[in-house]
Amino acid sequence: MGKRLQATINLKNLIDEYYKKMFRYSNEKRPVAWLNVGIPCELFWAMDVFPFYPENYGALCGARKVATELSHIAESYGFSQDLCSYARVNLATVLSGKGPLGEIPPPTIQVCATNSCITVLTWWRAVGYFKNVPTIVIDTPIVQYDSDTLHLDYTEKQFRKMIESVEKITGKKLDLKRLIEVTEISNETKSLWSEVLNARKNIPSPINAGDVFTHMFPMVALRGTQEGLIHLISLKNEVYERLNNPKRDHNEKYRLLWDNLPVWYDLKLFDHLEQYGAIFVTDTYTQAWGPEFMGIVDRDNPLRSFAYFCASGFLNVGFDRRYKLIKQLVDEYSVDGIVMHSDRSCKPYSLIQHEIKKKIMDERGIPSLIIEADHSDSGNYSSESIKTRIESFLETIDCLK
Amino acid sequence: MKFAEIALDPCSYIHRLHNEGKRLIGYMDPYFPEEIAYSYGFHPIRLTGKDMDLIETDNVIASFACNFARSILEQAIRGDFTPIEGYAFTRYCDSIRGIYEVLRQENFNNWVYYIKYPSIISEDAVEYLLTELRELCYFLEKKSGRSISDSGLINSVMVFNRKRDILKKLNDLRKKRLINMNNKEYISLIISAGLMDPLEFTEEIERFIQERRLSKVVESEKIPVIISGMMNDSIELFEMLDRYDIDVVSDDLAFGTRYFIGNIEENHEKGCLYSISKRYINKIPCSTKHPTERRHEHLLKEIKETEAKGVIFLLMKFCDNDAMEFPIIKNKLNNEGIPVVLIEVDHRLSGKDQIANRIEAFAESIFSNQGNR
Repeated sequence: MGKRLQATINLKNLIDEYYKKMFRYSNEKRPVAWLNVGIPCELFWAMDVFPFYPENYGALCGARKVATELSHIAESYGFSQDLCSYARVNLATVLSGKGPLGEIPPPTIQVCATNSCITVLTWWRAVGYFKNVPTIVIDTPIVQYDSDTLHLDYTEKQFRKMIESVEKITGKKLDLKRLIEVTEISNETKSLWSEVLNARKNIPSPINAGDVFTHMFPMVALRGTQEGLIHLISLKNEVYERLNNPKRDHNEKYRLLWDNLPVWYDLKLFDHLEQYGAIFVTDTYTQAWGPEFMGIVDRDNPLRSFAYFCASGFLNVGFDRRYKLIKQLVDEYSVDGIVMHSDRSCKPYSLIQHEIKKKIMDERGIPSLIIEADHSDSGNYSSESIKTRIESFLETIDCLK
Repeated sequence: MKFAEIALDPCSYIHRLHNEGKRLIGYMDPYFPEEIAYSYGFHPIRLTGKDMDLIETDNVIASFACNFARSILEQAIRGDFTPIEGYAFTRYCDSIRGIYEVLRQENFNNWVYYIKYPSIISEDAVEYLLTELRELCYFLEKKSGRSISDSGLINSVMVFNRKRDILKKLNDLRKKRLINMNNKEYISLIISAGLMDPLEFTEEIERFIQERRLSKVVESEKIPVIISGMMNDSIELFEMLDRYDIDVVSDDLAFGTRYFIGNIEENHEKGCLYSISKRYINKIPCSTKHPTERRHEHLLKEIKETEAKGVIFLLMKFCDNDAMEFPIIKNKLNNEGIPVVLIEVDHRLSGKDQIANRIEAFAESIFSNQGNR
């Protein structure tokens, strides 16, 4: 390992093209929708409404190490420093026109679902208020384990109403034939993603967490597009080629699980830990786009499938389902230890980690380390201190082995 | 005053209720339909924040859950809520959701129930919640061993409607400066409202109004303000406002006006449970719900009706929802030329001097503005 995937180099072009396309849509007065990650991009690609994900933009700002500066700008507009840093950087750009991509034109419409947190609802509302953008909220009450029929009916009905509103506001009609074409491409893309994730079950794993986190972008924003599909094909091929022809700088000694979003401004942390043979062979975050939470869309009833993925999304289920996933990952990926990122910007993900930590130790004897950071804002982050803590944690794993 | 004693030590009061044989259900937010629990013979208790060190919570939940929620969890872990038979949660905010999961896992011999609660205001949401409330009824039926009729539920609704009516009457008198009541007494009463039996509480308030009602407005040098925010159980903070001659003439708090304004229709053609669902979905929203225009309208209406000179916005540390709502509210108030100050507080009013300075500076700025007019 150690060597970057070729697909990562291609990814940069893919991201650049995506943002260029968004500006092009805007310049040509074509509709752009701001969505949270709980809203399926497929519907919008099928309607020729450009789907932009402010959370992706937050990750980009984190990776480019400009989130802290943007956060200060948001604070100057009255937004608390304790708010989610994705929200802060987005609001900073919306209100000041500053950011790594310069001024981002306001969307034609915004849609968010409450399936990740209540913060998105208030964040979308703030953008809607300050930029006078019509905002639609898809309400998904939290379920402990899975959606029942009533929950799905409630969500699907809101999807149908949302589509009607988007059609009315943007003037773009949803063509069901086109939607099926898009979902078929999306299904293929998701299957490839599952294969990439599954490749990590092998010992040694062909890739580390940094690789998969980086490649989340097409899974969030480009599902259902040819460019997204082509990228996933090359990514999958490269991963399996590496699996069949392993060339490694370091031996894999510790197989670790990363829980929560990554620290976008310190993905090198994963590279650093490779020298100790510590490889993050799985994580919970990328699994949110995996088969357990975002499976195949039923071509005969795509809206029902979208409603299901939205209503039973990874952060919209309770402790039991989250714990089940972790236990399953521990077993299937032969995990030795878990590093839990207690992310100050993501309460639904982070607040229950202490309980998961206790239970997985009791039931599987697997130790966990909780480290506090923020996914985008590096303001209070100390890379050295985190490295030291993880290095000590590896010694704990040694003792337990 | 009875309210002062209860508000000062809710924990002792909870133990007393338990010793009297009351079956207690604890809840945390103003969306829990107390009427339903009461109709099954339970005594609903609003769990209140407390000025205490947070030690045990750090072992079970991240430090950036809101301080109000963490102080409740700390009390639960320390056994303060042992007399409470079970906890009922709604989907209110991400911090309270975390508390629900922790209480469920820690299993302190209290049952934990979660209502799959909508976060939007719509007719579909009313219908959705209606089904969830039916589930709650089945659950409480099993726990209480009693089934209730429609009339039983209506009776309970009437009890809580009366309680809301009397709180509204008191607030109307306060708005017109026709009651002799300071800020500390007001918050004590609000805290007691969530703890006392609704019938007893209503009687006490009626008595209180009789004793304190003024026949005419007495001129006051105090600065009339409105308090806005979420949950706040700090008596000390309201004492501080008294000290700086600030008169809270009405509020926009989760357990203030947003708790008691809006009654349940007692004879709705779709049944009592439907009208309960309708009331809770359509009540003046907290920032955790969408849309929130009605909250803003409510705040502006209270300011207009009371001729308040400004708004004090109390932001609980790590409350994401009101933190995101504040810039919108501030913008709307600024457009109307209404001064507003943001005071960040935690469960124990840390940084008292700083808070006092901000309140004093706000009061002075209003005084000087009045002088210039």
